[in-house]
Amino acid sequence: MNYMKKDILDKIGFYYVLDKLSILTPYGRNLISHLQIIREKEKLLLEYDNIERCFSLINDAKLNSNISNTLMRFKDIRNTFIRCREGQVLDEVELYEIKCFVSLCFEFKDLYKKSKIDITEIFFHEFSEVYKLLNPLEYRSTDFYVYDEYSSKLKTIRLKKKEFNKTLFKEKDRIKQKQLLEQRQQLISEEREEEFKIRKALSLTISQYADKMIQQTLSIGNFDLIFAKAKIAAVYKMARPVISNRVKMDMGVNPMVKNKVEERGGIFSPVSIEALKGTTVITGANMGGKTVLLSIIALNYILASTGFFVFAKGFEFTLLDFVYFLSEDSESIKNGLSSFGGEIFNIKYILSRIKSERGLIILDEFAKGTNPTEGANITKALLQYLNKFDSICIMSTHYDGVCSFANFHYQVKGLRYVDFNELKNIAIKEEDYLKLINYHMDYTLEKVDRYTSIPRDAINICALMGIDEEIINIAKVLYEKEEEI
Amino acid sequence: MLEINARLRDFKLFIDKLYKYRTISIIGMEKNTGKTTTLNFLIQQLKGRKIGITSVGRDGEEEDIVTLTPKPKIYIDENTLIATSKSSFLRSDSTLKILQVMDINTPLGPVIIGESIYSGFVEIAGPSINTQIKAVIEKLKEFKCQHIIVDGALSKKSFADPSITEASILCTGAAFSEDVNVLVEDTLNVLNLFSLDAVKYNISKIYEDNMEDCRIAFIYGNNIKKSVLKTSISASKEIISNFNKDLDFVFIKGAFTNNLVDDMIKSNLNLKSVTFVVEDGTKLLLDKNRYTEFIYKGGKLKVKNNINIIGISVNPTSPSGYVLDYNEFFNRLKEKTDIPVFNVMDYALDVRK
Repeated sequence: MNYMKKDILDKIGFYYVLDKLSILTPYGRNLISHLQIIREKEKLLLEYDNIERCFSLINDAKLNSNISNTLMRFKDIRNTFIRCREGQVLDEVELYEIKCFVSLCFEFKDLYKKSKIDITEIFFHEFSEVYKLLNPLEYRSTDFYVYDEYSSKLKTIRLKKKEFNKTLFKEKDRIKQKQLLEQRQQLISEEREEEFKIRKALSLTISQYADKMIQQTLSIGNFDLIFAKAKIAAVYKMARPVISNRVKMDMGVNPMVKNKVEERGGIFSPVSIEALKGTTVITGANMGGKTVLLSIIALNYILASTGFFVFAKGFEFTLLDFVYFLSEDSESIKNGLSSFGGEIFNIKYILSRIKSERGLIILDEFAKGTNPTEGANITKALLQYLNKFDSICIMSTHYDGVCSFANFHYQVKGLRYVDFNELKNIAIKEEDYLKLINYHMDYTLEKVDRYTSIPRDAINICALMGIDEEIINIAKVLYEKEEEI
Repeated sequence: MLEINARLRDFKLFIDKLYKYRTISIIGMEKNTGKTTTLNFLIQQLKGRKIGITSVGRDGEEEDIVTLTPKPKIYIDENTLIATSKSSFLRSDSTLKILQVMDINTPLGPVIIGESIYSGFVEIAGPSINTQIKAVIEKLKEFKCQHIIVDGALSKKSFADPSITEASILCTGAAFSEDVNVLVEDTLNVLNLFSLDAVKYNISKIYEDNMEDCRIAFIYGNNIKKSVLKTSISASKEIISNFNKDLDFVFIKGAFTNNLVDDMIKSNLNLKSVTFVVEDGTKLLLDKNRYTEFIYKGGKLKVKNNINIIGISVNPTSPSGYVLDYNEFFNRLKEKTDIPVFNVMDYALDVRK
């Protein structure tokens, strides 16, 4: 997917989600590695419908397991189909694999019909002729060889070979045995020749189906992917996205972060936010989950636009031309730019795009790598400028006074209602600080006035984490002086 | 007459044992000791029962690539199952039905399970990785094989674990040595090494848990030190430098060699308090003198897995055409072992090209 950089996709947990998908066929896995943004509203809605249609199947344990078992048996023999289309003569093993493929297609078709799911993209080509060709027997079988039934000549040769084998072992004279072996070799060549003729004829007929078989793998892969999307949606209780003219997330979750937080005994708090055209700024305490919030918006936005359900109770989004998540860029250092230089480089790119396109632009603490006075001013200027465009920009910042330049301002409630004097007295081990902060931090976002000032939680976090008291005391004096001014 | 009776008795004993086991492997002391002839012979003996055949790595080529001696081919009757890689499968001249293509890949293609519709010659090249051989054996069991023969297993160079089969047959013969005295002595030495005591379960468990990713490990009471050496061939220095009075066990994954014994004896180590543990007897590349000297100095050698040898198959003909005195060999061997000994040429059909 070239929609977003790989390292960003990794950072926001997109690959984590893909890893959790239970894809069962090589064809489905192929689609996953070429996942595309769906840009047409109708197609997206149809994909959500398809996911919903699969829910009934997930609840039918027996049918679900039968379909899964069938899908799992599909092998990647697309190269065989291609070879066949090119007119090459297939060997016994390839013919066997095609027989398996068409048999599995029948099996899958039956199960699919039974499930009564109706997905437009799922179709079944008619392969009865292929099966009949590869099964000249009177009963159904799953094995294959160039059966005697294909040609009476072949059968005659083989019976001769059988007779020969018998006499060969009765003959004790080494020289005569050798002669017999040579004669036998002649028979083997005849058998091979006849088998080749048959394989050639079979391959020729099957080659007319090669394209259909390739298309069939796509159809099966499509089902596999939709089924996997439905399964993950059911497991994580994901929501169906709604297409509107804004980005509105209700109780959004990042499963990767949630998993990590819970692993260390913490609790993950879902977050809600609404962002319209123009700029929205998020402020709040350190460790208040601002970056995580931005990642949830980006993750859910990308999932929704690739036809997945989302990790939230509700998610509205508008179809845009691009998404850009800009955070401290490790790439820039590799390229010889400072982190600020890297940011500006990327902002230039974004600005060039928004002039002709609409995008979702997510900026994590823009300009934090430069001096605060200048950083704040540049940020203010950027916000004011971005408000002129149709794109949606969500930015987190620690800079004072920046919010007044944005259209909307959200603030993490943070540690606002915590009595620090009380907390300080609880003697705790170092590894518990994270838990303690997690416990007392209110990750909820509040829509606040544009002029609301930024909370002073950094010093509290320092105190909580047990930094030298002298530093805290000096800092407090400085804070007081600042207030006096 | 008496001699022939003794040989027949021995042979019957072998056949009785053979029927008891579902999985059997064939171990060769040397190339051209008649492993494939032994396999053909087993197939004949098990006639009427459903057999499955596979191999560790490649076997059954028309000519031995190393010694250029014509090799006998594997001949199977109708309704015999084989598990072999795709290219070997397609080269076989028995008419074979494909039952399954396994998800196991070898350099010669995926492993195919086939069943013979018409008898003929086959080429067998199975996987070389332990877990894969196990999977192939399980698959052959699934297809209801009563006996599964694993050919070419457990050569000294192979990493296959003899515990993959319940019983093994040792192939020896003139290819190994044309001197009856040497051959008897070396065969007995190998038997002796193969039948070394296995370590107790708890030690075996420690071995299993620790040796997955390492070649040598030292056990001092409850402490384990794993060596970072990549091979066990040049292990002498490592072992000698880790030797002290607290050392209880040395675990070795790979070969235990003459050189190692020489080096340890040269450095005057007190071998009495230490037990050396190797995977199985096939990893002991020791000649008789070294082994005797090692034991004489108080050295203790144990294996993680026993090898259950149920028969010794002898090929009296060497690649150069020399034929050794089978009677003498048989009698000399029988003085020292109860394991049945048989000459495959007495029973086998020669199907050399």
